[in-house]
Amino acid sequence: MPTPARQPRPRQPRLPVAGSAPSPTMVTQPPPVVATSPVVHIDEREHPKYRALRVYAFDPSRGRRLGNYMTVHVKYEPLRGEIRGKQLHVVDYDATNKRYYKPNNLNSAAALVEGGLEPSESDPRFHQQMVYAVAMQTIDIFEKALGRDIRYSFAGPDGQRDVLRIFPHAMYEPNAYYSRELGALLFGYFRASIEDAGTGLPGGTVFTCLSHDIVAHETTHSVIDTLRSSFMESSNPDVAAFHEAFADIVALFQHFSFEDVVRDTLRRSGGVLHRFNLTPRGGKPADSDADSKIFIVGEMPEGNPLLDLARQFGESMGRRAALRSALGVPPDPQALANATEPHERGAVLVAAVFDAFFSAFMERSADLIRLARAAAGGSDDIHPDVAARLASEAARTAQHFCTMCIRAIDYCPPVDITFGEFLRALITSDTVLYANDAHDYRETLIQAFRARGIYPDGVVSLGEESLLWDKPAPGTPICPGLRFNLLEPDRHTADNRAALEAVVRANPFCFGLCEVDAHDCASCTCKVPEGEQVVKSVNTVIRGGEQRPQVEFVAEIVRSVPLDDDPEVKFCGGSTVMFDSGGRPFMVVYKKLSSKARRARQKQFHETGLAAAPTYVESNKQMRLASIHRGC
Amino acid sequence: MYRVGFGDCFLVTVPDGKTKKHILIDCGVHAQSQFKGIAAAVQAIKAETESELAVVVATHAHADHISGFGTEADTFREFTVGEVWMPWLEDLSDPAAKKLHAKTAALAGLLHAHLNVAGADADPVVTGIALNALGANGRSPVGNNAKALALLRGGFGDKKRTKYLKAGNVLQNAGGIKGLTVRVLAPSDDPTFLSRMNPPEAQLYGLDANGNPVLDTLLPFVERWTEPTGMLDPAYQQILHEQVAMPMQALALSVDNYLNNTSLCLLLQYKGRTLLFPGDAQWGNWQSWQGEWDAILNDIDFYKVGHHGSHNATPHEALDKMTSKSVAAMASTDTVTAFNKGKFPVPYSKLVSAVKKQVGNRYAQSDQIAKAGAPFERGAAWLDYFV
Repeated sequence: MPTPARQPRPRQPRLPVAGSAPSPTMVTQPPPVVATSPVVHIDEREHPKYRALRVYAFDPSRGRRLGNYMTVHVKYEPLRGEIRGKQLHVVDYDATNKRYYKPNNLNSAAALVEGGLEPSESDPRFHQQMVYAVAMQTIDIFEKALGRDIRYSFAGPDGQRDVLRIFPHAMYEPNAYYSRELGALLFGYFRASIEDAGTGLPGGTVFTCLSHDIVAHETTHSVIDTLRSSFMESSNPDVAAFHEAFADIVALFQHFSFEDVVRDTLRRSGGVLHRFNLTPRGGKPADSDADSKIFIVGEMPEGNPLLDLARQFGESMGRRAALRSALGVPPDPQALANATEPHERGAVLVAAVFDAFFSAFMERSADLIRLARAAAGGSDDIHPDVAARLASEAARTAQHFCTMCIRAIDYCPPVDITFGEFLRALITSDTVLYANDAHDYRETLIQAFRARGIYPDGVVSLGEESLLWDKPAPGTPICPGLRFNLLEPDRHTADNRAALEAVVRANPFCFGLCEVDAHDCASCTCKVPEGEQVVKSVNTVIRGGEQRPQVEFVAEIVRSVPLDDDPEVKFCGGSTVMFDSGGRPFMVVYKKLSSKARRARQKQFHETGLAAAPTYVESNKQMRLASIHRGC
Repeated sequence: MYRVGFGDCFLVTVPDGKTKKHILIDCGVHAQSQFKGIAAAVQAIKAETESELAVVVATHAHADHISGFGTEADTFREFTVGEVWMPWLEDLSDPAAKKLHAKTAALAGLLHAHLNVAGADADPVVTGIALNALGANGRSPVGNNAKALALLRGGFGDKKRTKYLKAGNVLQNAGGIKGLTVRVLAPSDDPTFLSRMNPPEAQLYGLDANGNPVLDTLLPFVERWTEPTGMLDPAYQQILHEQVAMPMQALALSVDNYLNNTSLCLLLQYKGRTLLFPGDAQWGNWQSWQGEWDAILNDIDFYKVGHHGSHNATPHEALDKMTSKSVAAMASTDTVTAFNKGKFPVPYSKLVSAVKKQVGNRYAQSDQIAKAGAPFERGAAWLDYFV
């Protein structure tokens, strides 16, 4: 290569005028001026964009039924010999039987051409492919919604690691869970119930890693833990429930992106996506046959697959049908007050979100349905074209709601979340993005939450403005020096954190870290001990929405002190603070470390929590998802 | 309350005209309790009641509640017993109860098999639970509990005397005692309650062709898919093995929770006095009658502290509602016993202080001498409280 400096300088358009100081946020370096810029050949691309992989849309129990064999396109990354990417590493080690299974080479010509292996229960390599594909998809949903990459970081027994391990056959146990300690998702396998295996084979082997829902659910746990690590501190009854509910919400919303299934469901439900039972494939049995008592499978009503969660797993264990049972009872504002078990409480939140989604979808599709009915002479039959239109509408609405929920995570309090606060975070994050609520989504959400007794504390009404987060305490300082580089999103991450850390340490009161109830902004003398990092993250949010794109920052500030005499039981406090592009704080969620009421509530929860804990899990310490999922 | 060690043995005496009628609620001691006062207690009961019991109640089938009916069966056979009350979940003619019973028995058998294999290396929590569920010394799967249950189910000589009770039952002039009303608060036969307490199927963990539990292996794939080596670091592998090892303790706890939650929870009402005996009811059992807490709890006069005062058997909110000025509480336990010094000591100190706060000096614990000025009378093998 010739040295560029020696070359004659080619004529170049001048770059933006010097003197106009670069904006504090969008610092873009002028491109290095080179003599011979490399030329891109139009017909060649360095990397493929996507990798096509085949998976089960639901799980093996649905067989080849319409849409269950599905090809997904996950973001391309180079994989060598085994499935080990930037964020995920599939390790097929079976800890019960202490053996490894053969790895899948997704780079083989066959795999590249055919979208990996054909779905199969007996080939472990397909299982590896499926967990990878579904986990990647789930991570992608988060990355798209948040506009940034998900970065794992684990301190495991074998050192620091930024890759999540996935064990598709970790153990012989009817369970699957995320373990922070191992930095891994562990999927179990087991024999189906002999007495009651539902549609499955009694006594057959069930693999939790082949359930799309379970993989999406567990991956979501890992992502949420990365975004908000303090949500593993079970400080009130909603925290564990929130983790569970959110994982279900993300898994369920994925169903609505399965085009074939959604279209089929719409056709067989008269356009009503939330109907529990679908018209049999063979059409409704003729009335005159009512007395003849002939039953054939083709005429039996079928459950709506979109509403089921991890059906094979549930049936194999002789248990539950998540959304179906959650939406199957009239909303009861008392339900939440009476539910204490995490899954039970979580179901209330899931029901609220999906109530809003289905209501919004009905509203959005009402015109199409009316047109379709008019065209079909009032019959319930939906024309395939209409079904296709409705399906894309459903997919879009589902994606919108799922994105709303994910974006709200950034706006949640840093610790000790309650369902009511999640509603406030939802409303706030959406309002910041879209000043107008064109489709009434926010109003629909508020109504659905209200119907299920989910109220935020300390707001004067359920009006949208009251639900927005508060203004920062008077005297909250500006944080200068927050920067963002569009081309290198990670470039300023560490500096931003350090810059804010300094500001927070100088003003603990304004960021919820003051420990004395009686203090105020002026009188606070609290100090954050050296060596404790309190700014957990500063994330950049690029707002498009209805306005000119703008950059904001959301910071998560947390400190923990002992709750009681037991040093292992923590009481966490802090704040989530939103800064504009100039580093001016404009909205804040406090979870004050000085709050006596919150401390008392947490103490009481631990006592009742102990009484209510279904096992002897030390529920006053960090919760273990394994125990929650074991459900014993 | 008879001071039998770690176990329940309560005699409720009701004046009936010039005579007295007696109800015996449980009679058992844990196999690992250091102090075992059952034989003496049964002799004392014999003297006190002149071998006549209007009602015998077995709240649930744990050794620390029924062992006496096995070890002292010969003495008990000499008693005249009016009725025997057991939870409906022990009624083997009920299909739902039978199914749950079979599942739990299979799990208990699995625990037993595990104990035989593990021997002295067995996790102490698992050992304690298995012994309590089987009532055995660990060598035989058919232990003393089976003997006790045979006597109880057989109604002390006449099957018809045994009544299986469920939530919602109200017995007027219960056990032939005029003016005594007994309300059964739990166990319920509500499907939600049952599905919550449903233990895992032992068969998930493997049973052989004869239905005997074995520590099952399941190889999910044929041999050719096995790879000789892999990349995991030994330290990492070690922790992984520990985390996913067959969750024997979780399994044991599920048996324990199931049996505790079958507890018959009884409310005895006599001449304006109300006594609550919840057996070893844990959260699920309490929760099933949560709707009635307000109506019931604020005027009870006596509370038999659930599950020997464990951390998970008296909901905080329920205790808060026991606000009557005269409420007294008794807990049966043995804090000297070694097995009770492990991970989950009973009683749970925070619960005891909460109970004391609620009842003042009207709290008695079977392994302690009642405080001076407390309204209890000490007998040879018992503590009396006059409601």
